[in-house]
Amino acid sequence: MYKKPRMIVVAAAALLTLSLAAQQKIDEKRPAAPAGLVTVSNLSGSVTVKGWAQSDVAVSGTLGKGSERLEFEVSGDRTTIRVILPENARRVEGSDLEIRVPQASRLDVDTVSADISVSGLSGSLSLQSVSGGVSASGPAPEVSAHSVSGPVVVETDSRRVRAKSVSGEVTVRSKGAQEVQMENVSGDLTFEGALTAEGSLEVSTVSGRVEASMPKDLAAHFSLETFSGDISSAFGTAGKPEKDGPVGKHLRFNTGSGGTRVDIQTFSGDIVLIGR
Amino acid sequence: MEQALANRDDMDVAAAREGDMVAFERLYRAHAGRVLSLCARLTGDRSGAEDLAQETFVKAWQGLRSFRGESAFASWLHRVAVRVVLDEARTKDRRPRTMSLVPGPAGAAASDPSGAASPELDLERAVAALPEGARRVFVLHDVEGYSHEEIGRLSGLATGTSKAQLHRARQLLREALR
Amino acid sequence: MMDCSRVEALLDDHVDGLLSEALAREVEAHIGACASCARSEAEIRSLLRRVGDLPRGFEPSRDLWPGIEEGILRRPAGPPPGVGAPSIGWLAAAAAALVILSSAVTLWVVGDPAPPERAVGRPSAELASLSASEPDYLRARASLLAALDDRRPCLSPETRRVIEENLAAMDAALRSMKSALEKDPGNRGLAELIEATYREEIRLLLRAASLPAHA
Repeated sequence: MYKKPRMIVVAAAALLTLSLAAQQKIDEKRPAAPAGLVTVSNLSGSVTVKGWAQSDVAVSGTLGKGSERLEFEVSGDRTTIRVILPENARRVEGSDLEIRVPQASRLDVDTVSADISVSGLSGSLSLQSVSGGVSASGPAPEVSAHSVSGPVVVETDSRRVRAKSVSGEVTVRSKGAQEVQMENVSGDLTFEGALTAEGSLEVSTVSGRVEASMPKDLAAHFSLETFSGDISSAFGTAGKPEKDGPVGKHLRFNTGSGGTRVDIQTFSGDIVLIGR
Repeated sequence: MEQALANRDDMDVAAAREGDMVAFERLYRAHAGRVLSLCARLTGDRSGAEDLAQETFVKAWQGLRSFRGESAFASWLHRVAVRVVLDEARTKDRRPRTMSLVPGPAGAAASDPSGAASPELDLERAVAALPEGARRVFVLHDVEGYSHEEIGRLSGLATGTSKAQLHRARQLLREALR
Repeated sequence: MMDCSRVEALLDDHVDGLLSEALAREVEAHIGACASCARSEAEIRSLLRRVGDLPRGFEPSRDLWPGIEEGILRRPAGPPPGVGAPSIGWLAAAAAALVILSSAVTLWVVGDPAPPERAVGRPSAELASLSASEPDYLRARASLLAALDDRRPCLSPETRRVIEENLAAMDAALRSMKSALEKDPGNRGLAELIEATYREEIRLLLRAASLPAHA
C-alpha cells in the first residue's frame, strides 16, 4: 500500500471574503508541491502565470468589483485558484490575476474573456478561453491552447503543440517540436521554426491563410491541399499539382529523404511556404 | 488533506454530471497519473496502458450519473479502471510483454542516461514480468490496497485463490529481487 | 510449535494482519526461534516497503484528453433519460448526433481504398451517407441552440456576441464547403474539413451551454 507522499503540503483553504462594492487587492502565498497541478479559473480580466524557483504558489493582482471571493486552495499536489462570482450580481468587473507557480508545475487555465499568458513552466499546459487571447512560452513539453475568438500564440520548446481557434489567429513558433497541430475556421495561421526528424506539422483551416516558414534544407514529405485557395511553396518543384477532382489543388512531394511530415489543408485559404 | 482534495473533486463531479466537460477535464488532469499507473502495472504494459486509461475516463463519463458519492471519486474511478483492464483482457489474447520504459514517473529514473537501474525500476520490471494472475492480485492488493474480498468482487476470484496468487507473487518477487 | 512449512504458508496473512491473535502469537513465536522464517518475513516486509516507495502516478507520454474527448463525443453520455435518472436531454441528443455524424463521415472517408486517385464517377451513395446523418446533427444543433437561448440572458453581451458570430462563421463555412463537396464528391480532404467544422460547432455549443452565469 502506498505510504503517504513524502512532501505533504497541507493548507487549510483560506477564503478571502470581500465586500462586493469595490475592487480588492490580492496578495496570497501558499507552499505547494514542486511538480503538481495548478488549476486556474477566471471568467474575465486576465490571468498571467509565471514559473519560479520557489516552492510556493503566489497569487497577486486585483479581484474585480462585484466578485464574491478568490478561492485559493492547496491539497496534496493540487492547487486550485478560482475567482468566484455571486449568483445574482449584475455588473461584475474582471479580475487580474498574477500567479507565480513552481516551475515544474502542470497548468490548467480556463477563462471566458480573460486573456491568458503563461511563461517559464516545464510542466504541460492546457489553456482555454472563449474570447480571451492565449499565449504561452517556456519549456513546457506539451501545450494545448484553445480560444474561440481570441488569438492563440504558442512559442514554447515543446514536443507537442495543439493550437486551435475558431476565428482567432493561430501562431506557433517552435525550435524542434515532434508534433504540431494548428486549426481554425478563419484567421491567419503562422508557423515558424523547425521540427524533429520524424516530426509532423498539421494545419487545418477553412478560410485562414496559412504561412509556414521552415529551414530551407528541410527534408520532409509535404501534402498541401486547398479547394479554392492558392499554393505558393519555396519547397519542392513548383507546379505539377495533382488534382483530385474538378476543382481544387493537391500538391504532394518529398524533399530529401523526408521523415518529417507537413500536412496542410484549407478550403479557401491560401497556403504559403517559406524557406529560411 | 484527502478531505479537501475530495471536496475539490465533488464540485467538478457535480458539474460533470450535468454535462460540463471542462469540469471533467479537470478531473482527468487530477487523476490521470494514478489511473495510468494502475493500468500500466496491472497489465505490465506501459504503452498499451494509455489506451486503457483513456477508455477508463470515457467509461467514467458515461457512468458518472450512477456515481452517487458513496465513496471518494478517486476510489470509484480506480474501480472503473480495474474493470476496464479486466474486461479488455477477457476479450483479447494477451501475450506476456516486458514493461516498456517510456518515461513514467515525473523526472523518472527511466531517462537516466548512465543506464543505472534504480530499485524502483527493478521492482516495476519484476512486477511486469509476473504471471498475469499473480501480477493482478499483487498490484490490486499490495500496490493499490484492495482487500482480498474487494479483489474477489472486482475480478470474480475466490478469496482463497486471491491469497494463493498473492503468496505466489510475493514469492516470485522476492526471488527476482534477491 | 509450528513447523516451517505451516508458518511459511501463514506469513503473508501474518504480515497483512489477517491472522487471529492466537495464530499470530504462534507465528511470532516460531519466527523468534527460526532464522530462515525470520528471513522470509523480513523479505516480505522489505518488499512491501519498496512497494510503498513506488511513485503513485505515471506521467502520460502524451496528452490523453483529446482521445477522451473524442470518445465522449462519439458515444451517447450516460443512461437513457427517463429511467429515474435526470434527463440529459440535449446533451445526449448532441452527443448521439455527433456519433452518427462522425461515424458516417469517417466511415466514408476511411472506407476509401488507399490510392488517392479516385474515379470521377464516384457513386453518390457516399454523399448520401453524409446527408443522412444531417437531420440528426441539425436536431442536436437546434436543441443545443435552444438551451443556449435559455442561458442567453445570463451571459454577458460580449460572450453572446462571440458565440453567435463564431457559430454564424462556422455555418457559412459549412454551407460553402458542402456545396463544393457536391461538385467534387470524392474529395476526402473536404469531407475531413467539414467533419472537423461540425465537431467544432458542437463543441462550442456544449461549452457555451455549460458556461456559468455572467460569463
